[in-house]
Amino acid sequence: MRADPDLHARLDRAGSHIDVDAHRRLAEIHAVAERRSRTSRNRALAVAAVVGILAVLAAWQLRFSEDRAPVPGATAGPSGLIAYLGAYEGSRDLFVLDASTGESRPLYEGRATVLWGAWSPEGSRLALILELDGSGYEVVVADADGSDPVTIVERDDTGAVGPDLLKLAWSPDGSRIAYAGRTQQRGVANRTIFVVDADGSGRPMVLDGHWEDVSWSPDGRRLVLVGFPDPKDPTFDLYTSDPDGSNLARLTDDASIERTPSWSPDGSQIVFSAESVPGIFVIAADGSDVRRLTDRGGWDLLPVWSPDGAWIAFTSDRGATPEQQTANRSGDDVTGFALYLMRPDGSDVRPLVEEDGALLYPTSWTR
Amino acid sequence: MERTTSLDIDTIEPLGDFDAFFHANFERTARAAAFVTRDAGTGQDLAQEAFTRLLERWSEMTSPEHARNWVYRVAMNLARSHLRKHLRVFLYGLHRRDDVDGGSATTSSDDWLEVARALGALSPRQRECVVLVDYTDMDAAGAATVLGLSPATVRVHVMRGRRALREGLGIDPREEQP
Repeated sequence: MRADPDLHARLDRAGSHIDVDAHRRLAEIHAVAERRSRTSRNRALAVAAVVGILAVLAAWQLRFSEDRAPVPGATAGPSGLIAYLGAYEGSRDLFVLDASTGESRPLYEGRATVLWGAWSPEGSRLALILELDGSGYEVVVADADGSDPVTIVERDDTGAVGPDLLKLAWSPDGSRIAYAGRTQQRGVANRTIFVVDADGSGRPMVLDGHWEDVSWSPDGRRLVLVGFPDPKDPTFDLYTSDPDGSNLARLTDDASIERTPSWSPDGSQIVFSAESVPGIFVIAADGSDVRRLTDRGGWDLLPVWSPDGAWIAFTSDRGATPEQQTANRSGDDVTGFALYLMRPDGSDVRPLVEEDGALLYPTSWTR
Repeated sequence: MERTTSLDIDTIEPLGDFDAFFHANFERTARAAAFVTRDAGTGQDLAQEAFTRLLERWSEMTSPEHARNWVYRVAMNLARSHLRKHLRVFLYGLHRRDDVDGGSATTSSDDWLEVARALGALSPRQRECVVLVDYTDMDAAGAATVLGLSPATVRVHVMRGRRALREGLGIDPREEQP
């Protein structure tokens, strides 16, 4: 099999536009290799580190098997309304599920594709991220049933700079919305958190740092962020901050990539998913304790607390076929993710909505 | 005729020093990783890490070809891992968006953007196979060695990937020549 001459020429031409600073890269390679070599020579430190890691792992493992704290509302079934996105071949829709009956219906059938939907804390309004026609995004706030949408973050016609939105989160008093989007700083693309008034007034507040996800504390005084404050140390971890991004506190400091945090209704815990160590975890809001809730059978993501704190909804491919799971891991495809529920201690896992070939994931839960 | 990647003891090139090998191979490796990840900056970062690991194993390399296959294998593995880490974008609905860093300080040329966008229509595996065969000039057997696949599987990925890439770039369909 020989190279396709047309494609070879196009790839060559495109590649020639990528500026490669070989000398700087080579200097860094030697520096990093030397640093790693020094590290490996320090056997005493390495042994100590391994012993330390083993001790932490053992303690962590112990926590999994320890008696678990009483679950609030343990005798009650789930209730309230869960908003979830259903992604199918070529389409995406927002649905609402009655958690007590298990019945679903479309929530928003509008002029654009919904990328995220979340009810305001009191449940009377619905904020949506819409993809208008494949070239722009906007944030709208509608009535709880999706009617009468009002745009609060306009589509950016310039394309390169704009919302480019991932997800959003309401402040507990319903006055503000935080969303993760993309911006440019000194010509370099960056993702960070924007905070806007829920009525669209005023200019967005842009947090310093690289942040890709956000959730508000129930008292509205803190945000939990995923990302890193310093681009020189691009390690994805959980942080908390004041709503303006100040008073940063690091909750995790590890090799795993934390994702999709959701603050518990009582403010004591944050649930999140992780990629490098697949599963759903909870961490105390002060970062003092981490527990793994799910650790087998699939890829578990996007946990969302119920308003009463008694349940956590999440998406998982644990029920997918081995072929689907393989494709999900390789990135070739993403299918077979269904909605599940579990107790906040990881017990009582149960499927909620499953559809062949679909990608279903929760975005919001209201009373 | 399929080219072979098996080592012929009489034609083995001397390995030389690492810096010379780096200067001869880094740019192409970085650009190959950039095509697979569709991100120019990321491609260079991944290639840098692959070459750092190569430097640490340099004494184990037996020939330039051995080193080249080894560093491409690491770079492609890193690219695959990078894509897995960024699988979250699918869950946020960004899979239909052009995830090309048009504002990157590295490049914003139309040529790059067009190719990077067209590569988005290929699966990651198809991208790896097409890039190795049609950009780095590896044959199917060499690409198979790098990717840990059979040559037949590589050919299937290449043919499907080429079809999608040619269509995305507006190049007329071409009769496949194995």
